[in-house]
Amino acid sequence: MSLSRRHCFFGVFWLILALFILVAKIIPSGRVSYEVDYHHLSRPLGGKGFIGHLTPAERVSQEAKEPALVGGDPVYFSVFTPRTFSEAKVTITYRDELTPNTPVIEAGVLVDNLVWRYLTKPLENKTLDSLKDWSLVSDGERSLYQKNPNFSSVADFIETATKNPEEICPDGNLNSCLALYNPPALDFLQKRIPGPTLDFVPWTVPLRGTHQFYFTAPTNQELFFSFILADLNLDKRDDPVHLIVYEGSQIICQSKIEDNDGGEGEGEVQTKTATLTCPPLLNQETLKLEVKGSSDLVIKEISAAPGALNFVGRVYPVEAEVLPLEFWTDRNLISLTTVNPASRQEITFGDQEFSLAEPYERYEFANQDPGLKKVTLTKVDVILETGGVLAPQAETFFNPDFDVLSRYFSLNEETTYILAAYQPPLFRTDGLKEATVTFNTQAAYRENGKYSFMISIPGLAPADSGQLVIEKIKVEFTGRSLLEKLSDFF
Amino acid sequence: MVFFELIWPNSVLAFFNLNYAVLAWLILGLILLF
Repeated sequence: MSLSRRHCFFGVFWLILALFILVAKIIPSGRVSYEVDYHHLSRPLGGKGFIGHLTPAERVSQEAKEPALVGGDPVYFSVFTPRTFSEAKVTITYRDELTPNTPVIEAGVLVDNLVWRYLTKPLENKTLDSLKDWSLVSDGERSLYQKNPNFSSVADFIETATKNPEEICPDGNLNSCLALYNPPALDFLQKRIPGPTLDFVPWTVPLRGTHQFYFTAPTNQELFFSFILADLNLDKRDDPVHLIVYEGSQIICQSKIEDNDGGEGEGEVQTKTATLTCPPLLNQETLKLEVKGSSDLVIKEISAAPGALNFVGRVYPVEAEVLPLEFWTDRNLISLTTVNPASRQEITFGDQEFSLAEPYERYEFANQDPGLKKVTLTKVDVILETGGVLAPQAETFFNPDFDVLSRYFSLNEETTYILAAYQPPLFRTDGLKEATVTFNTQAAYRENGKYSFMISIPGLAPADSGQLVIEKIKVEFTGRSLLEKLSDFF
Repeated sequence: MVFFELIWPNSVLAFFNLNYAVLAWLILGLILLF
């Protein structure tokens, strides 16, 4: 039987089509670049392209063939890739119409879908860019900003910081004069200055969601923690809880409490106890405890811990037998939100009073008085954030952290050095800025062939009149080529 | 996974910025053409 010309043509055509689809799927070169230019964006055939829309819609205003106007924080976009890649280089071209209240712009990639955690990197930090009279040395990746030009290279500074910290900060405590931004991974930054060991006071105010705590552990003693945890079962998914103890960014012990009780989505509260035991430490150290779970998690009680607990970053109390609740902070800016109309209240921050007037709004209150200040909450069901340490008692307050140039940062007299893995954006002659960040996407979370990215302008809210005008997003992916993959087999 | 992509070519859809309905019409057109 001989094939007709028509059949041959037909066969070759479908073969070429199949080959094209295969190549489009495999991307043999291991490199691909996707971009969306909002000035020329047209999708007449109804496709979504590789880079999805900026969401949620209420934070972005997007007209056809106009740049995207971002008026809220954060916004997300997903990028479809036919295969996995190991690295993503994200370039954002934007016009900056932000107010001085929002000095930081960051981009992030989703790495943990359980707590919706994005690994963020800086696009622009105006606090750093404004240090015009400081001396700057950089090795391409890491930059050192110095009030007085004492060091000629970053390597020189790192060596001195490791061996003779008192040459940098007179009291020998590096966090008294060194501030960080997007800190590079360096050993000397991992060691926190040990705080005083203070007796543990049981915590009985129920807390909702993930919380982190600092504590100072005594030497040669097993670290024992005990919790009473509740699962609200409002969400349909299982709600496992992770108990993790960190030394710097290293995990020293952890335990996972599985959610085998069922009842998800039925709203019936289930309570259980959980414990964590870690091996003893050789030196007295300040460690971080993280109780990580979904928004269904309530930490009802912490009945045992090796030392006094101080909150890190945020606290979300949901019930209290005794009011008001008090927290102590050394920060000058606090932020508060509630989703409960019954939790509207007057807050005191230091000696000033502020009003949390509406639910679902994020309020920020500033108090420039130096030193430790008390925050008083008269009602619960409020999320209080500071970007720093929040202590339940003034006596237990201890800040082992370096100052970080977040939007909560205000430059003080003591800060004489800033170490940052940061490159300022490119200021183009047409008034646009172009900022690039590179992410390791091997650790990133990928679902339905999509990586999820975020653009964050901390503090940007509809009440703030600023906006970020995004003209173009470009994502360049790099991964192993087909040849490299095949060479594994030989 | 690669085989699945042959009958459900997400990457081609994204590449040509098409939606599923348009792609289905295109394939139907090609089949009719031969």
